Amino acid sequence: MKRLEAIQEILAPLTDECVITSCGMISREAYQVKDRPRNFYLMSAMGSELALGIGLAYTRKDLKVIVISGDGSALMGFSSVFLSSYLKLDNLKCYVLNNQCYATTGGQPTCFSMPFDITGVIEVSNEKGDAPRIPLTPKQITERFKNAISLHSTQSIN
Amino acid sequence: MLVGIPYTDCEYSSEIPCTSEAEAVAVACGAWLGGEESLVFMQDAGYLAALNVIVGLAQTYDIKIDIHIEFRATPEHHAQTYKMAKDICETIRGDTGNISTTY
Repeated sequence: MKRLEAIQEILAPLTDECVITSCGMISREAYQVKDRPRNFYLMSAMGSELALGIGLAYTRKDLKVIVISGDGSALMGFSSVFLSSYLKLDNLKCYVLNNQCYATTGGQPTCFSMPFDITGVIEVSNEKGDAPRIPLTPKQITERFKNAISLHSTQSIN
Repeated sequence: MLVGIPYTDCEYSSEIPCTSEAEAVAVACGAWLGGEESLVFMQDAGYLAALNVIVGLAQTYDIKIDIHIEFRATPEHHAQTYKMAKDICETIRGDTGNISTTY
């Protein structure tokens, strides 16, 4: 699916929802597809769209808030995923249109194009107060760490 | 809404646990869209980190927010941050009426 088609799919059924779009192509195309008084187009402050949506959804539980973000922008404000997960705002929904590049500036790749399961991260963040544990003793963890740093490898510790 | 990132001997408590000063400013801007005014608190270093959102969002859209910037008690240890934040703070204060800063 192309980005424009995705934006059309998201915006078409909307009635009174508030929409916040990330700066660049997504704001421009949302304006082109369905400009409406309850659209807020970010023109700058890349990466802040989800936090902006959190502030609106948190203070106005009577409103439905939809955030449309690109993968580059979502990565810039990625910690806001954890805040929204923590707050469990039922009236906030965020779409990340992942084309694996910064489309507005010419299609340079984002690190979303690296193998990475974002859903795993969000799943962990949803487990409030229940962080994943390593099933090892402190001694085993120490040994594993020493072993890992002695490898002089740039690969992550498995 | 009272929101921000705590600093040493912070007298404020954030209503929600924000992850960065920039995020706190954006959340406050969202609250303003919903009809609520906010005070955002942060330390001088965080102020520098949040500038893009302060200028690109709050200032650009004429969103009213109050910002409290706590300057560190030992500026001699953070001289560059301290001076830069003070200078920028004065500049932004002079440029716009929608962002009020206290420190």
